[in-house]
Amino acid sequence: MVTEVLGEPHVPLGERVLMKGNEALAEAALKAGCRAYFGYPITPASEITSYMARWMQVEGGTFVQPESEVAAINMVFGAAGTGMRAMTASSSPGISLMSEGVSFLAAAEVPCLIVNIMRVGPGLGGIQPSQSDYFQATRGLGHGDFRVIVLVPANLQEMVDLTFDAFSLAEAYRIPVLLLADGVLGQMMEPVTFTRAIDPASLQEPEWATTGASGRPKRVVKSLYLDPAELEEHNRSLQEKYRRIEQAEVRWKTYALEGARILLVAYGTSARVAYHAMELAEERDIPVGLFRPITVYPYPYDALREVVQQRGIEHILVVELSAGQMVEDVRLAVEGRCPVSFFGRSGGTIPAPLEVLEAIRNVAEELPATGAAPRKGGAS
Amino acid sequence: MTAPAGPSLQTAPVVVQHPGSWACATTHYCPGCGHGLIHRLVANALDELGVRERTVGVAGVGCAILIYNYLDVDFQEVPHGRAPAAATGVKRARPDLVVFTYQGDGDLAAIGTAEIVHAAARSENITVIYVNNCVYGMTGGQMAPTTLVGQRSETSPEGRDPTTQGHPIRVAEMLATLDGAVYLERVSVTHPENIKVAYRAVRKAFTYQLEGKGFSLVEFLSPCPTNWGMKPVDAMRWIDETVSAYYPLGVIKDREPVHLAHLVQQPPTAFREDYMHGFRYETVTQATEDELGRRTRRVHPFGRRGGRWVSVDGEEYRPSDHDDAEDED
Repeated sequence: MVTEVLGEPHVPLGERVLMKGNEALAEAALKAGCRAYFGYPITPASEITSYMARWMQVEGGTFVQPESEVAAINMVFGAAGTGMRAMTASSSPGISLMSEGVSFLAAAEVPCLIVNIMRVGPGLGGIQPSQSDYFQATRGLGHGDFRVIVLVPANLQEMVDLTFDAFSLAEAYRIPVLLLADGVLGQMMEPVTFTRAIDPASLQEPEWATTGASGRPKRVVKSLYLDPAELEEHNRSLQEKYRRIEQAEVRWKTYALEGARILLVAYGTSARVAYHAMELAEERDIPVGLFRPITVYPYPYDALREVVQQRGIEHILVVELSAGQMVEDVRLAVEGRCPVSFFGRSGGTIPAPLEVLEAIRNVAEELPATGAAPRKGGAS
Repeated sequence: MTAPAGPSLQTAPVVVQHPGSWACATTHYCPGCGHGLIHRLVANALDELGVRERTVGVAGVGCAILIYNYLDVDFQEVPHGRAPAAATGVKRARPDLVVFTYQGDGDLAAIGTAEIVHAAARSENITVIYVNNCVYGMTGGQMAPTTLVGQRSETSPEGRDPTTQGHPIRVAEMLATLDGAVYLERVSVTHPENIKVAYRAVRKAFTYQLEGKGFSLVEFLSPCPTNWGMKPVDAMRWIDETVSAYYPLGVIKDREPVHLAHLVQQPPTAFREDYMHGFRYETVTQATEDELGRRTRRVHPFGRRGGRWVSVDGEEYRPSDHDDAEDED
């Protein structure tokens, strides 16, 4: 690496600080050793780009505001192709424009971080928060048989920590990593603590990076394979990599599973709302637990199925800021073992916990009675 | 009469060698194609400047996407038209590298118009080798943005009609209007004298990059006998007589970069005083912890820019109402 840290880190290490989500994410990326940022302004992700414009050069890195998200993702391709930690950030319509480049990055196995601070769609939609890019993130981020790791934080500390993990995962598997958050997480303030800062000079240059063929054979970072047999072999090795990721990198959290008969499944901001709804349900003696995926590719299918089986979950309620996208993965996970209902708001409205509680009540009414008092812990 | 005894192959003095930047590979180009010549000129320039070991090429999509089979330097292969953006990424990440793109006219002047214009506007310190053969070659000879008026192609079978299909784009002239573009020259490879001029242009473009002068582009008028439906010799003649009449050869622009130091050093002329306060972190005290605890059941989507406050019981607050709002719990 040619760059070096020129200044002191902007936010001190070890101190609990109150920061806006987008800015905390940008600071985390700087502290994770990212020294190349390319970003086009878009609400509600713009603060990431603004923060990088202010601090990237101070840290000795490179910042370019490109002409489009199309250019941004290809600048990431170029910079990451030299082995540097590089990233871009945008929001939903901008991510759509990046699709072409993401497919090329995935095919050429160039590691990088892409951040989507989701806003509501389709089309120009609105600028309010949403989780309606789940299909895009987990299924349709571009043409061809490929996957990217998708991380879904639910609070700012987790967003900071996952930003560090994103670069490590990207490099370990030579894969683009998508950090999928929404406008709430991007815009809200919360306390975060930065515990470490990675010196980019300490990062090893990868053995595939294009840095000039000096004393070694030339390297080509590419995705074109005109020979079908060669391409099939390449695609097979990509799929083999995805299977390894599905084995090793699944993350999730569970809450209040003890005695739960209803399981809420939610990620990101909707998991926060669901958590509060769960608390309200507890106060009303409705036995509810919460399952929160932290990776949605790879999706915790097995973990969710095991929770349903081992805890005897009788009904699942999926809560999303969309018309129902992750709910399809939940259905794939439980394979018909229990009914799966959905509650979601789309249009940019964040449901109040009481709205979710109402949906929980509707589900609870359909549960078979287990005795006089359907209290939490009463289920056998 | 017997032929005079000449030097045998073994003893003949070496007049021409493969450049070190040249990877000996069997060509996939059609007979009479210009790419092979132009590849060779690039390889020669990299050798002469001694930069092969620190060069990264960026291959655009088109017939010449396989340039990395012929040049023995590191390469990135990127989406159609995006080479200037990727080259920007490489050069910004590693300014010590010599970075060039190699793009056709469909790649650069149609799908990649935004990328080339803005790379030039930013005066990225890269070299662009732009090969204009007035046609989409790889896809079978469709009309390109550079196809001449009246020129027949797969998608202009009656000849390009400017009333419905527009006028061909003179890329070098278009980019010349940008302050960021430093060196722009149009050359051809139709005969040895032109090839010499072309080589000097390529070498100069790379030299400018080594001197940190900024964006340079060499536009080649190149033959595509296959898609023009001509014999190679006729294709060369057509460039000399017809193509170069619309796309004049020569230096389009060659001047010092307009990085006016006095402008750069001036403080920003317009600046929101409050803006930097947006990048603020506060050390969390007990008072803020209490405040945060009080807010935990609220969702506040858009910070100080408005938005909604939602309490646990679903009531909405405007931010101004917030301080008066009571929590249910």
